[in-house]
Amino acid sequence: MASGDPTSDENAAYISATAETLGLTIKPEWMENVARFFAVAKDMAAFVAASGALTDSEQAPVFEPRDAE
Amino acid sequence: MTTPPTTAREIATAVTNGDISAVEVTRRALDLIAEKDAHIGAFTEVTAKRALVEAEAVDKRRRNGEPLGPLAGVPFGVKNLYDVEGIPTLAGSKINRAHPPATADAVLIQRMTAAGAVLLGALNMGEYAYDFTGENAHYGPARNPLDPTRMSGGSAAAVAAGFVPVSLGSDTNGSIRVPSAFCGLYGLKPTYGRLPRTGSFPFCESLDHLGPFARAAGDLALCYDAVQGTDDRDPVCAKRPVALTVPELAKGADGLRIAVAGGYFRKDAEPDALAAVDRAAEALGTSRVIDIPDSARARASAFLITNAESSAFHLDRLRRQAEDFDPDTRDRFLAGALLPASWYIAAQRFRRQFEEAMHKVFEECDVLLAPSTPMSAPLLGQKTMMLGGREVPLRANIGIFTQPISFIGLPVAAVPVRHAGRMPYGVQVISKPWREDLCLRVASVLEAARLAPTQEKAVGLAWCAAH
Repeated sequence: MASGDPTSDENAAYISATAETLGLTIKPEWMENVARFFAVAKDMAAFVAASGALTDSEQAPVFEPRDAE
Repeated sequence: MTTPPTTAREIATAVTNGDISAVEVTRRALDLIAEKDAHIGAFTEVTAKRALVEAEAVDKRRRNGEPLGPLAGVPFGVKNLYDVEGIPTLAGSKINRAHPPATADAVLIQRMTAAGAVLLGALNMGEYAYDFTGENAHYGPARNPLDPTRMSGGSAAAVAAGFVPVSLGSDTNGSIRVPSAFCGLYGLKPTYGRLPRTGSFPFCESLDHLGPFARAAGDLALCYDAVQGTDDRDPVCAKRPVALTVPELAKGADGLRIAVAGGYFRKDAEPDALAAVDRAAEALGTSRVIDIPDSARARASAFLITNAESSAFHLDRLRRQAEDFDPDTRDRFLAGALLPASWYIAAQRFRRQFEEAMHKVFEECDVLLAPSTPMSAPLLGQKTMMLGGREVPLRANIGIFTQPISFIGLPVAAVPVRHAGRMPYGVQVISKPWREDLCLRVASVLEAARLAPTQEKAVGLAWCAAH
């Protein structure tokens, strides 16, 4: 997996917009780390997507309704 | 008694026979903690008063001729994400200090107590379990008793220091198997859904497991058997009958098809970590290697599920109290809160794909051996590590060999291997779902092969020095 550029404009714009939508404050001194971790996750997501998992498989979680009291 | 009992089995036998009282065992352990834990940092709360009450109750039952449990008088500690009645469940955080005290013990503590064990307190951990290092900005690090300049984890440190013979921890991506490796201990991560998590503070519900640490393979089985059983309050907990493992241990490895995990699990590790696996394989008489397909993708999926679920769980705390988090976990949680749902769902779908692939692997073998970590215990404060000739962040990469396995919930016994004069390594003894008995049988065989004799000596010295 190649490591994405954590400081890319694309990532920074997404992080800022999503954080604002969720009501999260990311202080400027935290941003470098947050962007680095986000970039790692982005690389991993691309790697997982390359398996075709998004469309080819059943999800792992199974919801089993329990008996009513 | 000339030789003090050190394992859970020995202590329970001595207490049951009246060779030593549970109160005496408890006082000795509490004295040792009072004397030495300031240098280790294993405990965040010592429940001395409660422990002595519980120990006296065990002794009273014995005096009255009542039957004692299989863990009679055995001291233990729990990672501080387990509810302990009367104290807040910290889960390694500063934020949870403001929570009201737990009103009841976690289910696994209740079962340990019912078996006669004596709770000595709550153990240090990384904040909200997002950690393999045992470092904690709020409570200080849990130091490795084998070398206090190195990493551990409170639940492993308490056992390796000789404070308790067994402890209960949790493992989402490797937090039982990794500190077991670093401290030269045995650890059991049962099948996902085997043990109820009722009364524990979650990290990532899709991947959270609970399980024991011990200095002896037999003690793992003893503890595991004591806490087995379903519980409807944890919807993940399987409705399966108790499958006792202690009676199975004597079967050894006879008839088991054992192989070394190849490919991904033979790359990017220190030569000594791979040599530890090879020594275990040799002791078991196998040279067979089976490649585990798509392990890197399994690890990536575990990373995404962990990051997304845990961050969503903490979202409100991140909104209101981000500055109260440990900086080493805060930024990972903040990043995780931003992940698109499609990344998470793809990882959950891949979980099913990988499970199906591993079912095929287990048509060819019963047990797989793999390294627990790519290295021995890092130094406290260390931020990066070498992996395949590249310098990479430490925290995100300690678990590269444990994450693919817990991702699909396979049972694993972590077994210590120690090369002369060096820090220990760990070997994962992995089996098919619901076959903890096979993991523990092989762990017992490896224990008998004495692949970590220096560790036994170190623990023996720690205990004897205190008595």
